[in-house]
Amino acid sequence: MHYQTESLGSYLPAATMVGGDPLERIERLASENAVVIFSISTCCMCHAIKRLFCGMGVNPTVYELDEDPRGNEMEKALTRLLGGGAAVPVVFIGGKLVGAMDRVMASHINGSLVPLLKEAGALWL
Amino acid sequence: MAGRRVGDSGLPDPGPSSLHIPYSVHHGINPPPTSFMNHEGSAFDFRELEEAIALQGVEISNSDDAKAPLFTASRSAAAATLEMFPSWPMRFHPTPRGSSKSGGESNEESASGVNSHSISSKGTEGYVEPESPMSSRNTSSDQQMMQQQQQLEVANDGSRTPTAGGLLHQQPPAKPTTEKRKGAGSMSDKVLDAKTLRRLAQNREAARKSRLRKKAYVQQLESSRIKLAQLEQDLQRARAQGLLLGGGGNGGACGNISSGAAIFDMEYARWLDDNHRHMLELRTGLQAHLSDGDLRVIVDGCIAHYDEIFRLKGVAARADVFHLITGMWTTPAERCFLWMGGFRPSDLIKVLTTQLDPLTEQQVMGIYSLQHSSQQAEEALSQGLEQLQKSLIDTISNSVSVNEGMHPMALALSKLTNLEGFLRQADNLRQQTLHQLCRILTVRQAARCFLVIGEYYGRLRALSFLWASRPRETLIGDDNSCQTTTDLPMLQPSQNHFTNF
Repeated sequence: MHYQTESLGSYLPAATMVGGDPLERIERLASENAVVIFSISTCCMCHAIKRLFCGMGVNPTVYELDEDPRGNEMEKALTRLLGGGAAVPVVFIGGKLVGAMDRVMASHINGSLVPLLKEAGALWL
Repeated sequence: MAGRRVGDSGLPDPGPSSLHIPYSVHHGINPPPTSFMNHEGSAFDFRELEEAIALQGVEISNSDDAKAPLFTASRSAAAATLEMFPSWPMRFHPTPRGSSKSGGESNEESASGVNSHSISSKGTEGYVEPESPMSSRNTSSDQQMMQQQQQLEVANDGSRTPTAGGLLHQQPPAKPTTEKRKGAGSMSDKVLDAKTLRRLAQNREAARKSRLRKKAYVQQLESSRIKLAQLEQDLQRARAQGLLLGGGGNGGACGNISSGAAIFDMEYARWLDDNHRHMLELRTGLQAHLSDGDLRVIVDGCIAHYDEIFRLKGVAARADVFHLITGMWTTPAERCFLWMGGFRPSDLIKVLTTQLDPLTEQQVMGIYSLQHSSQQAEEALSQGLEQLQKSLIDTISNSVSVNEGMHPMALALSKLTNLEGFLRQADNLRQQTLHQLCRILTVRQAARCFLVIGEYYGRLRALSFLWASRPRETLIGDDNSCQTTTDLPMLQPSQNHFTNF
């Protein structure tokens, strides 16, 4: 048998993972809830994005990377995912990546955010 | 002007050391009266006065040598009052002169240091009308006269401006003491309350002093304003030539702006000029009823122009975020209503909604939801910035570093870098709002929309300039105000307080 340390990540419980793929963890976590935000507790822009969703009546699931033992690597993975810039805040809706703050705001302004939320079941009405 | 000694007049010397002065002033009255005459001659009723003077002169000359100082003083007080009419010395010099000297002298006892012109000033203050009838009753009301004379002496200290005369005469031109004159005019009935006289005179003096102060202050202000305008011009020129590279981005240690800020200001100025050109294009395009396709080209140009300023701001934010976020690149009126380094998108939509009729129902809904979502986004960003401020306060106010042994100032610095992010997101919001507007509106409506926006901010900018150069009309002709010049903005209301005076 060969160890596929990376691919094994999806089969083993997260708690026992040591060198698992952070990106996959991210994707897994993102698909568990309608709205998932990866954040850092001291980050003010993350605070802003949380307030945006709460103001819209959405109840997002927030993962504070600075409170996660594997937060560091997840952060790096997110940076790579976003193509540079700040790793947080980053938003997943319905398991799909929406983006960082600027993308979220742009989609809210052009009216595409609300349908997305409704589709994911995060918003009613 | 040292005049003749008092003793020369043949009267006993009352004693006070300031005796020379009234006499010298007596002489000194002579030159100015010509000017007084010019001002007030027309307003005097000389006939009555002449009669009184003639009477006075006769009495005084009769009792010249034989009276006690007090009595002399009292009569001379009357005589001295005659001297209040500047024209009188010219005409009636011989008769009252001798006694008036001593009268003036003894009355100076009660005067403060500035007694030299009090005689002339009394005249110019115009308390002659009540005086002249009294002077005819001189012998009978000596004590009262002297008392009042002394009051006048004290009260009229220093109020020696030539134009302050003719209080009881209604129409001398351009007299600064108009209101006081009116007030004093009501006193023309014979019984002059001593206290009132004193108060009036003190007020006059205070008013005069404050007028002089105000004049000096205004002159100072004017010269400072000119200096400031010149300095600003020089600064602008220097900036445009890139001479101000002060501090290299440290935000201006000497109060100079950083190079990044200077560059942005230059680019913004150029952007404004181009914006003006775009607006002209829009206006002519709309009036010429261009086809939608052609108009679309112009509108797209406008959108691209706005995209350009957001890009420039992004570049400048990296160099000097404070310059942008505090709005130092804008005019004061714009700065007052600034939101996160620029306009508030929901405010802009408010400006537009009234100007964009007629709108289809779909458009109305689109604009309404755009306003709603931009408000939510603004709120979120504002709260985020507030959080940043709270965090910064905590960091700076804590003397002991809380975070991983990092020095509080270093931590604070790292937090400040977040400002750039907020500015960027705010500009992003503005840009997205403008783009969305163009999607909702038709081409013609979009063209009108950009025109409205341009005009609105143009007017706001003009407001700043108008405000800075607005005429302070409350200053002109407001010499009656006894307020100090520091109360300039209050002059208008305070003036009413004194019209009743």
